[in-house]
Amino acid sequence: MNQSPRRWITILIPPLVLLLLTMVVWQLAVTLLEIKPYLLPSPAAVVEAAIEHRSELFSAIWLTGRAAGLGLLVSILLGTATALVFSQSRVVRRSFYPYAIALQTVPIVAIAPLIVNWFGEGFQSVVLVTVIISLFPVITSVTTGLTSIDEGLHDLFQLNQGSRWQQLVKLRIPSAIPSLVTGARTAAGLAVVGAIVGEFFAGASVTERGLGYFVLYAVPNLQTDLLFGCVIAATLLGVVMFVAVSLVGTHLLGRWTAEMETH
Amino acid sequence: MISARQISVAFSPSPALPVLDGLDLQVDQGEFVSVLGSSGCGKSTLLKVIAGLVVPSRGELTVGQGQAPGRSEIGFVFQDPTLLPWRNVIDNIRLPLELRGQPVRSQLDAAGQMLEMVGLQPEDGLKFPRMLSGGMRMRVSLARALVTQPDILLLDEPFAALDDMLRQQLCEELLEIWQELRQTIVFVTHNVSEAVFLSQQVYLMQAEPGRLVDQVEVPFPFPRKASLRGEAGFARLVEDASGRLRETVA
Repeated sequence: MNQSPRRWITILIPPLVLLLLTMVVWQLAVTLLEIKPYLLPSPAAVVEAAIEHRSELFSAIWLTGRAAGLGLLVSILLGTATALVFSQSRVVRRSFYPYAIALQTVPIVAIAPLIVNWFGEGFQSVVLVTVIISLFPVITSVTTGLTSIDEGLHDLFQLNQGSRWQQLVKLRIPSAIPSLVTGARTAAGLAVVGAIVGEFFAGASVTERGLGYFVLYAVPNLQTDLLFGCVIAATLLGVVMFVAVSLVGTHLLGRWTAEMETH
Repeated sequence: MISARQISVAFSPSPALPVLDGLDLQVDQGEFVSVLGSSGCGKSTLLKVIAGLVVPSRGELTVGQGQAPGRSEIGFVFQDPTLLPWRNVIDNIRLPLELRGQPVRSQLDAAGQMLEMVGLQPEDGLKFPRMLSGGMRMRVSLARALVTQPDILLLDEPFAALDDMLRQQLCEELLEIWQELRQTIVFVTHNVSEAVFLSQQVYLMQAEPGRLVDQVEVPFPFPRKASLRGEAGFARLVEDASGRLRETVA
């Protein structure tokens, strides 16, 4: 237990030092080389722009975060339900799996206008785009987890007259939890990308402005410093979602992976 | 008892090359036999046929009192402990009873008794598989196989992954359990000394196709103690069985 703070210091210090050095080099380069702010703003200018637009940025992060979070949740639920159906029938799996793969290859930028046409602009369409982007890793991971059962465990259930339902509930679903966590981690990062792309097309609302809207607004107005602020905010949002999913996953996987004291 | 006559098993990719072909085996009620053979000769398939997990393509099989494998009377210890990592030891042991729909109270009672029988402490019951050593995991696996009080116990190289000392200790404990419960045991191994120490009969198995080709009767009385391994008669029998096994492989 005493080693824990030291461990965190060892983990955090190197990347923080690197970040600081990068900031210093960046600031010096912009100042000494007199780079135009619309090409590359200095870190100080980015911080200044972020502070100036802080209330809009915070509400944008909140809005984009809500869309990404809800989209991720729907993806996890829908992806798990789909995987459960896939795991129960080889015929169903073989019939639908190619379309699940096709879902990943859908050029979302091309079909987003169609989604806006069908569902209108606003939060619901942003969430839908997020779901389309983040659903696939959940389906594939959970399907793999549900169907890749250790042969010995399968034999054990068969030998002890385990019904199909018992096998699903007592063996396949618990076996698939680590795969679900892996899929959800991948989906968490994609959900933020999905929400921002969704906002490019469907987030143009007067009252609700997400990070995607701010990116679209900053580029034509040459507000590169604000654009950088949005990129940093989106990155932080992605990290927060990834960490949140990882924490839930670590808690769920405690019995699978945690090193527990034996005495 | 187990009676297998002219058993053949072929898997679909290569039906012309059966895993087992014309295999005969007779094990009497309460007998402890070992099947000795090289890796990949079909020993595990033979156990799965007896357990009803693999259906033979030809031959007659009688297990217990019925004409077909009666799974409820069979306990199976796999090569790996095959424990469910999300369940603690007690919950792993009681799983077969849970799948059969027995009341939870009797599941827990039976699991507690088996925990003790395989030499684990009551507090081990609350530990998870990750917290156990390889030997402890195998004891849990054995307890789980015994919890249904099976008439027939099938063991598929259960101690193969353990170090020699632990392996010998577990063999001695397995014999003690057998002497107490007197199930019919078929023990599969490729370790000659282990087979001779444990069993009353050692069957030698050839590969491609898998078939029992020779038999060594082990005359040593029970209870057998660790000191048996140091006796000249034991060494001679191990040497004899090893020689015959080499002939089957050649």
